[in-house]
Amino acid sequence: MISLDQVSKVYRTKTIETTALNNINLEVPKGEFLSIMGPSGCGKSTLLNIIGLLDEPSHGQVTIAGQQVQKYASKTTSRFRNEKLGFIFQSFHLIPDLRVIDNVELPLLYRNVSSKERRRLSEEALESVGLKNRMSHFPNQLSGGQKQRVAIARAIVGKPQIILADEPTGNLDSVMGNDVMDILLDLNKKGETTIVMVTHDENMARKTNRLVRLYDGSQIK
Amino acid sequence: MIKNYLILAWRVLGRKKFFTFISLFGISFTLGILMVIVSFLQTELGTDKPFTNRNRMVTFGTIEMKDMVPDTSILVDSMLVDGTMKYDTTKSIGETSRSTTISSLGGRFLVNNFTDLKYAENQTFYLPGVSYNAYVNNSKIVLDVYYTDANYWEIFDFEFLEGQAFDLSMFDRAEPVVVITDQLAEKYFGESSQIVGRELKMDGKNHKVIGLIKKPLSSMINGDVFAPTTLLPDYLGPVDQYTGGFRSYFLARSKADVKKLQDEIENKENEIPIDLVQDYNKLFLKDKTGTMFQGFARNLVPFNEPKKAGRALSLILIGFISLFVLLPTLNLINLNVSRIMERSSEIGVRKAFGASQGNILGQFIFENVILTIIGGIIGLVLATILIYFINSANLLEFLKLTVNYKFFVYSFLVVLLFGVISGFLPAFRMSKIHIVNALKSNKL
Repeated sequence: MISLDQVSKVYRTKTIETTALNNINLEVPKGEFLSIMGPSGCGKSTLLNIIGLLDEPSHGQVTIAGQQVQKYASKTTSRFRNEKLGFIFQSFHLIPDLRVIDNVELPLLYRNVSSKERRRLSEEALESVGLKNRMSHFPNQLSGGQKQRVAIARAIVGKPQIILADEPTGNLDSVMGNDVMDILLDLNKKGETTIVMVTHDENMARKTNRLVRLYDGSQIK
Repeated sequence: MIKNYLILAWRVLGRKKFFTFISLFGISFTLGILMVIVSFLQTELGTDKPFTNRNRMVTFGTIEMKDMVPDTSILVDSMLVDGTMKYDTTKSIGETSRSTTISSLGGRFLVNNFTDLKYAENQTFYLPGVSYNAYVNNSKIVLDVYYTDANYWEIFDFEFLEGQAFDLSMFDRAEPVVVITDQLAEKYFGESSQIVGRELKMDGKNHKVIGLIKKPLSSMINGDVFAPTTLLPDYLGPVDQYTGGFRSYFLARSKADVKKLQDEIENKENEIPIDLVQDYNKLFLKDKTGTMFQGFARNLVPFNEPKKAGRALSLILIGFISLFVLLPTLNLINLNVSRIMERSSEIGVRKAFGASQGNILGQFIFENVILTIIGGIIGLVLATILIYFINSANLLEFLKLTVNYKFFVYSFLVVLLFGVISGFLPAFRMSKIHIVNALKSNKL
């Protein structure tokens, strides 16, 4: 489902060159739940951003669902992200001015979906994370765990094949963290969604199918 | 999508009340003033009746006559050469003006010299600004009378509410008929319908009302009664009278002929004989000719030459309006940059979930357009109140501003332009922001 071939990422300024990722080769088959671990600054998020087409690699090739995506023009990449990928962020990134239901339907706004259908799909996604009764609330009226569940609903509402989660439990206490993790595991099992998760938490990582460790931009074998 | 944007726009405006207030104040105030200007220009320079032919109209107002006499001047230059004073004398023979008159035009002068212009399809010579007193129910009414020819009604297409204008045969027979405005009818007869056929007493004589017109809003025509010039005794004046109180308008055959017609009128300067006139021996059509806009400009800017005046007024107007729009636009762009910057994280999320650059651009411009439309509506209300005030206090003599359909469309276009310009630049900048950087700002 995801294939990275000798992917490197180098950040250059006038005076300094920083290698964030160094020759990463990674294969993630369909339906796998992969976690990426490593110390801060080792390139985990950069790797996730490259898989999520949020950033371009300096070298190497990224193939997702059989397509070499970094060659896509910007509009095509946007559509590809919209249809194939879902994102969950550590700090939730919900839009504070929108109600929960409006936040969840955000990915569908960029598809040709009627408002009625958007509403139905969003309610369904919220129901699957147990928050249908909170759909008219605003994000600031929710707890951290609830916010992350809304973010999950937003990530899955468009039924993407891949979910990319950047430390989804990082800002949550262990109880809420476990709740969120259970939802992700459930999604992976029942929905056969491929999930790549960056985490600092060893316990969370152990619940996934496979763990990849990074150190200073390189993969530890 | 639109509904979603609308909700978001509404909530964003509500979230930053002070920012919204400042923006709305700027927009509505600017637009309010701008709308009044638009209304003024529309009334003065638009092609509403009776100025449907405005684009083909050329006007020409004054002549200058001089008595030129030979003039000899002697210039003596002195210098010291080897201790001796030497003198160098220059004698120049030229002309100087002993007497000058600048005046508006005489009827006969116009009829004799300006009725056969090649590029003019039609022309009218008329005498404005004659006034008589009339007494109705023991109160005085001042009748502002225009004495016109029959062509006048072909060049200016008034909106007739009743009856019609006098034609050439009535003009030639000097029939005591008049066309009056609805405003005068209201004052004189106490009503503004079924006026045709009634008698209006003017200059001690009865005149039959044969037409009722809607009073033009423009200051260019400020008469209330229009009568044939032939009613005036010896209306054209003596043969040698080149000056008088007449005005002239010419209608070019086509818009392209306007320039040619202007040149043709200017060239008359050298063709018109001056030997008929006592005391003067040279004639200048010095302030030359001009279009209606140029004529209007000459009243406002210190240039006598119509083309210069027209150009100067255009530049002033363009500069003024640009500045007027530019300042609040820059201010809005500035406010918008900081407002949109604060939402960079939202932009990151939207892009991550598939929004294209165009979607982001569209969203922020949409929000801005909503803001400016709200500002525009407030501005429109403001302008309506202002115009009402200007009209009721009679601040602009002879000119009535109006809030009409065209005015609203112009204003709305200005509002839209405003919204798009002030939203586009910051939105464009932010739409290009790199998703990863946008998400890092973490301001949600």
